Amino acid sequence: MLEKCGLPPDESDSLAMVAQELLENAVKYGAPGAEEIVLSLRVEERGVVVEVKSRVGGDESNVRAFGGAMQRIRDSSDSFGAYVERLQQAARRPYSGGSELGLARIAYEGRCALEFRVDSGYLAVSAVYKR
Amino acid sequence: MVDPVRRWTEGELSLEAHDGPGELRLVWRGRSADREPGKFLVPALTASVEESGRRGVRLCLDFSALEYMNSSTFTPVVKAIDLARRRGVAIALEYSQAKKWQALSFSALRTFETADGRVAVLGR
Repeated sequence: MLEKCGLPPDESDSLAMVAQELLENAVKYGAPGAEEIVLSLRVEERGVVVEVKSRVGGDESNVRAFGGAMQRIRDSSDSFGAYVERLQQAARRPYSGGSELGLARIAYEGRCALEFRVDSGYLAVSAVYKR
Repeated sequence: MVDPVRRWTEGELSLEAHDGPGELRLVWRGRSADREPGKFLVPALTASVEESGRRGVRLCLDFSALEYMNSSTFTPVVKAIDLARRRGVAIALEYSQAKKWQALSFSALRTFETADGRVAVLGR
């Protein structure tokens, strides 16, 4: 689908990974039994925006925790270093759902900037790829 | 006749264990996109680290034929590296340099390499 939009194969593969990671996040951390998750893709001359929107799961603390994770990724000026740091943490920690590896991977491998907004009980997470 | 290859399969992912000279090679095939791949991978990787330790051979995780792995898959992999390191088992991760996603993904795993080569990440 992405290649039909005129994107070269490498960019298409990378953005497919980004979309998959965002969708997995929505399934993992969204409301249990949520009826829909909306994936949208906007291809513009200067870049591509991948957005996944889903109903917020859990209580307000979940949104705050997610916002904190997003902020840590966004604050890092070195996406490779941030990703490596999370890999090292994942190797040492007991298994848990909050490794932030997916978000860090989107920033590093996908070369995307991350944004999010909460509106009327829905969380929309966007990955912005600049060409 | 005994099949020298052992296989683990879950969804679109399969692991094949091959006994080679001085190594146990675990070949990854298909796609690893499960939400909780650790349930399947941790037992398989732990058993492989333990078997390599018993036999005194290197464990080689061969990803070169793998089509895709999600971020959730990296956790069992890096935990296997950590387990091998703690048990004194040599471990190598092999990937395809021709696949751009693998070159990017596995370059980050070089952080686990050790100077003595007991943990190695090798692009082929």
